[in-house]
Amino acid sequence: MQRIELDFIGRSARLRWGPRVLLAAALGLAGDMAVSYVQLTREVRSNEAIVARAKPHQSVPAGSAEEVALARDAVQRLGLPWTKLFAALEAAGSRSSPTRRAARSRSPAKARTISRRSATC
Amino acid sequence: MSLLWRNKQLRVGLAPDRIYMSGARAIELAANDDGSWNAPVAALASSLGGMKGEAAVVLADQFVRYTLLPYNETLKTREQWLALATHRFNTLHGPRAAEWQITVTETAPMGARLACAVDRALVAELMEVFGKANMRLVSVQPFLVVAFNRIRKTVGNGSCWIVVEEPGRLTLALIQRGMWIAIRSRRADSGWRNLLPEILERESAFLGLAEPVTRVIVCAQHEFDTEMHDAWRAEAIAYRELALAAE
Repeated sequence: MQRIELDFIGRSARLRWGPRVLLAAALGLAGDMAVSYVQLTREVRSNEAIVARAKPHQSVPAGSAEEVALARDAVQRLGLPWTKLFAALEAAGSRSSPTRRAARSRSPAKARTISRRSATC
Repeated sequence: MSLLWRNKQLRVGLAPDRIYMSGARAIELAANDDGSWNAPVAALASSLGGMKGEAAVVLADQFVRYTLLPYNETLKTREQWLALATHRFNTLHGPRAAEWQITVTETAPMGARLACAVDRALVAELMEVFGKANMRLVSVQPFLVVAFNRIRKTVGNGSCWIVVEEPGRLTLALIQRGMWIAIRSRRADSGWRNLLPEILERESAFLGLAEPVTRVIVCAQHEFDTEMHDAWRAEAIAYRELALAAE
């Protein structure tokens, strides 16, 4: 069964401290919020001032056509895989040496040179 | 309210023939058959010397008139219920009711409303007495309400009679399946203990109860033998204990 709330003294007289405590708590919270708000506003303002003081980036002036061509050439050179290229060339060179010699020995120019020498002898 | 705060509160039980005060002996007064509150209030004023803090007063049912208003869904506001209660008291007691302070409260969401009336002058006098003693009167409640709030958990959603004994008078409240059904007040002599079954049977017949309620919670001024009547399941609580019980 529910409790019976019946009193001949008005609620306002009986619960006089309750609202006061609530009001005090509410005022305390409101004060805390106000202090936080002021602090945050100051922080935002100082940060905005820092941002405003910072120098903006200067745009790079466009170079002449010759400079651009040089730059492209440099980039192209730098972009080449030199190490791999040298390695491949060295490998190809070492593999083809005896063949070249053989090929050179069989070349018509060499043969002509030999036959001419034998004829003069 | 903290326990420390509660302990500081003076509790007073005001009856026509005596004053109960927490932490002190009861103050016996001269026989007062007419139920007047002037003598007890005057005695209270002279016994508050040196006290301070808050005070709560429990009024004897002899100073209070009760009526139960059946639930009516057309009545929506507290003012409407108060108007009905005022009309009911005017019908029952005549022009005297104009001098009364009337309060209405619900007993259950869809249950009857309990209306209580007390002399407006009594409440004003109590305020003045405690004000002069530099004390703050925070509560004035009728005994039946205080007693019910103390025992309501034991009643639960069951049925019982609550019988409050005061000198020369019995207040009978019937609760059935957790709902307030009736409050009756009647004169009684010192032999009421022996006649209690007959009194309750008569009230049951008057109310036309389909099934008898055999549980009785007695708030007696003195000892009450709960084994006295075999057909009834009786429990007894001391009047003083209930009058001074802190909430």
